[in-house]
Amino acid sequence: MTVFDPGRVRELVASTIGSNAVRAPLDASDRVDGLLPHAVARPECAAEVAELLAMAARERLAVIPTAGGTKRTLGRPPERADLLLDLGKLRGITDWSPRDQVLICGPATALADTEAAVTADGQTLVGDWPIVDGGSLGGSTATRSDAFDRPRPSGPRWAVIGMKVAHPDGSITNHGARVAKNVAGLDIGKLHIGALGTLGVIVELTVRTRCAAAVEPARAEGEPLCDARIEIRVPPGALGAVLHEASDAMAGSNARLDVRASASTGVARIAMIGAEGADRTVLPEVLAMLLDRTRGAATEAGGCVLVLAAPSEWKRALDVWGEPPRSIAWMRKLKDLYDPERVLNPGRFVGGI
Amino acid sequence: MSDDLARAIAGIVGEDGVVADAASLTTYESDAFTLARERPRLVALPRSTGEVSRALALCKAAGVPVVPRGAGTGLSGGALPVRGGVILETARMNRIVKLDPAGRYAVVQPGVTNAALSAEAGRHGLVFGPDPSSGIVCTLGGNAAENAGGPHALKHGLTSQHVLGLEVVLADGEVVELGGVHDGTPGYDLVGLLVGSEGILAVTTALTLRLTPLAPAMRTVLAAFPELRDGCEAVADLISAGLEPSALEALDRGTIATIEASPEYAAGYPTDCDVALLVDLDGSAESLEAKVALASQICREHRASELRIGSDPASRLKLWKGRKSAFGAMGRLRGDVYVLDGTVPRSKLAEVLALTVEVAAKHRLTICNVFHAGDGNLHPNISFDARDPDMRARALAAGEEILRACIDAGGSITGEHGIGVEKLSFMSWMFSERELEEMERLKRLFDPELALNPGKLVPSSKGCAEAKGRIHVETLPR
Repeated sequence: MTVFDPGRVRELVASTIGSNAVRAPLDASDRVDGLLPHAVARPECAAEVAELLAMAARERLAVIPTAGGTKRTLGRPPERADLLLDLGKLRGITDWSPRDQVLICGPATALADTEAAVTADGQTLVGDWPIVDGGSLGGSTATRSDAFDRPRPSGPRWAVIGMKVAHPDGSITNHGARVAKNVAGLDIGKLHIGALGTLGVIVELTVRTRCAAAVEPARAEGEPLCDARIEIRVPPGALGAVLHEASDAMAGSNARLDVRASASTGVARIAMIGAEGADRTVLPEVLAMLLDRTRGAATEAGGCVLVLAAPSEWKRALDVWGEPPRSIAWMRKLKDLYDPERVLNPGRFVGGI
Repeated sequence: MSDDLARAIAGIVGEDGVVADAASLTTYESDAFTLARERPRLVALPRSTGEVSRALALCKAAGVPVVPRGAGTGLSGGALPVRGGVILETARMNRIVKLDPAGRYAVVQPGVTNAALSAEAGRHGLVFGPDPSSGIVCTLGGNAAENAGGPHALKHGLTSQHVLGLEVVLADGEVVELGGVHDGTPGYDLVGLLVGSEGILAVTTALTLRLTPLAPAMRTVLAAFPELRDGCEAVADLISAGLEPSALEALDRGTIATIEASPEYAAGYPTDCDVALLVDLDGSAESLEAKVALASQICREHRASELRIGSDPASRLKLWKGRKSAFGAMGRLRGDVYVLDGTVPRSKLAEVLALTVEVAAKHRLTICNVFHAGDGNLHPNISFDARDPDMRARALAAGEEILRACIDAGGSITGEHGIGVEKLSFMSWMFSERELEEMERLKRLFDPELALNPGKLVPSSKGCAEAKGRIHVETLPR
C-alpha cells in the first residue's frame, strides 16, 4: 500500500482540476470514521469528477465521495482515505417539469431545497426521500435512504429513474431515461443505488415526483441525539418478535432505546441512548448485545440488521453490515469490474468491498 | 431420439421433458414477436433448479446456446430461438412454493402464471402488482426477465419494484441466490440488475415476490373525448390533480372501431370519439366518491362527450372488456399485429399520437393506438399481413419512425416489452458506445462464453452496422 504525503495529494488534485479546487482538510469536519484525508477536492462539474477519479485510479488514491455529509457514519471504517471528494458544487436543479413529474439535478442538491422547489408546483418528494436537514439527493441515493414508514414501492429505488455516473476509468455513463416507464437495456442504475459510491460516483440524478395532494404529510425525520443507530429490515409481520428481542437486550443495561417502527413495512430504526452520567465504556458492549439479539431474530425471519451510525472506535469492533449475503462473491466481481484499483471508498461496503 | 444431445438432456429432465420432433418445434419458432422466426434444435422442460443447473452445464460443455422461455408471450423476440440451440422452457416449474400473507411475500417457481399468483394472493386480500395484458398465460419468470408492466404499473411500478429475491442459475450451472424476503438486503442490488436482463445473464429458477394489499374499493371511469388533444390534456390533469389513478388507459378511434366491429369483442364503447380514457381509482369507499367526482369534473372540463362509471366488479369488468380484448380484435384486421412499445413524457403524448396517424397514412397502414396514457407508454399497433413482403417492410419502417419520434420527444424505445431482437438496432439511439460496452462487459462477467440467450438485448460490438441503426429485423431469419 502506498503511503502518500499530503502535499503530493494536493499537487495531484491541483494539476488535475486546478489549485483553487483543492484545500487542506479540516480536523473538525472532514474526518471519515476517524481518518483525516490528505486533501479535499471540490470539482466544478461532472467532467472534473471523472478526471479526478481517473487520476486517483492511476495513483491508487483512496477517494471518499461526499455531498451533504449527513450519512458519513454509514458503513465500515474505510481502509484508507486519501482524498475527500466534495461534490458540493454539483448542486442545483437543471430541469424540472411538473407536468411530466420529472426533475434533473446535481447530486449535492439539498433535499429540502428540492422539496421547496417542487412544492411550489404542487409536487413533492416526500414519501420517497426522508428529508433530513442538510441531506442531499445524491447521498440519499448512494445510501439508499428511504422513508421507513411508507408502503413500498417507494424510496430512491422507486424515485430515481435515471442517473449519470463518473467512473475510475475517467468516463461518464448515462443510465435510465427522463421517463419512468422504461426498460431499455440492462438496468445498471440500480447497481449504484445503495452502493455507497463504491462502483462509481453519481454526478447527476433524474427523479420522479408525486403529486402533493396524493401524499400524506411528512413525518419529521429528525435524528435523535444518540450514541448509535441501527436499522432492522424484516418481512412485515416479523417485526414484533425482533423488537421484543431489542427491548430484552436492554434489560438491566445503562442505555435506552428510541424506536421508530412501521408494522406495514417491517422496517424499524432504533436509536440507542446511554443513560446520563452512566459508565460509557460499557456502551459498546450494550450495542453489541443489541445487534446480536436483534440479528438472531431478524435472520430467522429472513431479515437483516445494520448499523446506521456509531462512533468509529465502536464500529471497528462491530460487524456493521451483518453477515455478507450469499451472493457476496458476485458483488466482489462487480467491484473488480467497476473499480479494479479499489479507489472508491475502499473497505466501507458490505463484506469489506 | 437420434440426437446425442437430446438423449443426454432426456437423461436429466426425463424423456417426457424433451421436445424434438419437427411438428412440435414449430410452436417454438417465435414468441409473440412474430416478425422473426428460427427453429430450435430441441426444447428441454426441467422440473427443478437442479435439472436446470445440470442441463445448462451440459449445454455449456457441448457448446450449445440456450434460450430460456416462459410462456412465449414476449413482444420483442426475447425468446426467439438461436439456430441449433436449446430452448429451456419453465412450464413444468409451476409451483407456488410459499405464500406468507403476514410477511407479504410469495416464493414461486418461474413457470407460475401471473394470474395464478394473483388468484392465490387474492384469497388473502393481497395482489401481485404487475398485470401485463397476457397475465392469464404469461409466467412470473418471464415477467421478471422482461421487467413487465401492465395497466396498473402506473401506480404500482414495473416488475422490478416487486421482486425481492431471485434464485438463478448461471450459464455454467452455478446456482446463485440474490436478495431476500424483504426490501433493502445489504449489498449491491443484483436483483435490480437481473430483473429486465431478458435472460442474457442467468436463468431464473425461483422468485421471491412482494405482495401488495388489495385496495379496499375501486371505481372505473370511462370518458370519451371527441378531440384527441382534449383527451391528452385530461390525462395530464388527472395525474396532476393528485388522484393517483391505479390505471389510466386510452383507446383511440381506430381501436374502438375495431373492437366494436368484432361480434366477439364488442364492448358497447362510444364510437363517435377520437379517444376514450379508462381511469381506475382506488381507496376507501368514502374517499372514492370524491375521487370519482373530481375525475368526472376534469374530464368534462376537457369536453368529454360521455362519462360512464363502473362502481361494482361487474360494471367495472364491462368497461374494461373492450380494453382487454383490443389485441384480439386487432388480430382480425389483417391476421398479424406488430405491437409497438415506446414511452414519451406525458406532455408530448398528443404530439406523438398525432404523428402515428401521419405515419400510418404515409405507409398506407392501419395503426390503432391502445396505451397506458398515464405513464406515457404508447402501444401503436400496426396491422399487416406477414405473407405480403411489401406490407411487412412498410410495417417495420413505420415502427422505426414511431420509435424514433419517442426518442426525439425525450422518451424511451421500450416501456415494458424489452429490447429482445426487435430493438437491438435502436439501442444506439439511447446509449453511447461506452454504455453499450458496459452492458456487454456485464454480460461477459456472468456469461463469458455468451451461451445464454445470445444476440438479445445488447447489440454485439462486432456488428457495428447493427449498432448504428442500419440493420433491422428484416435481416433476421423468418
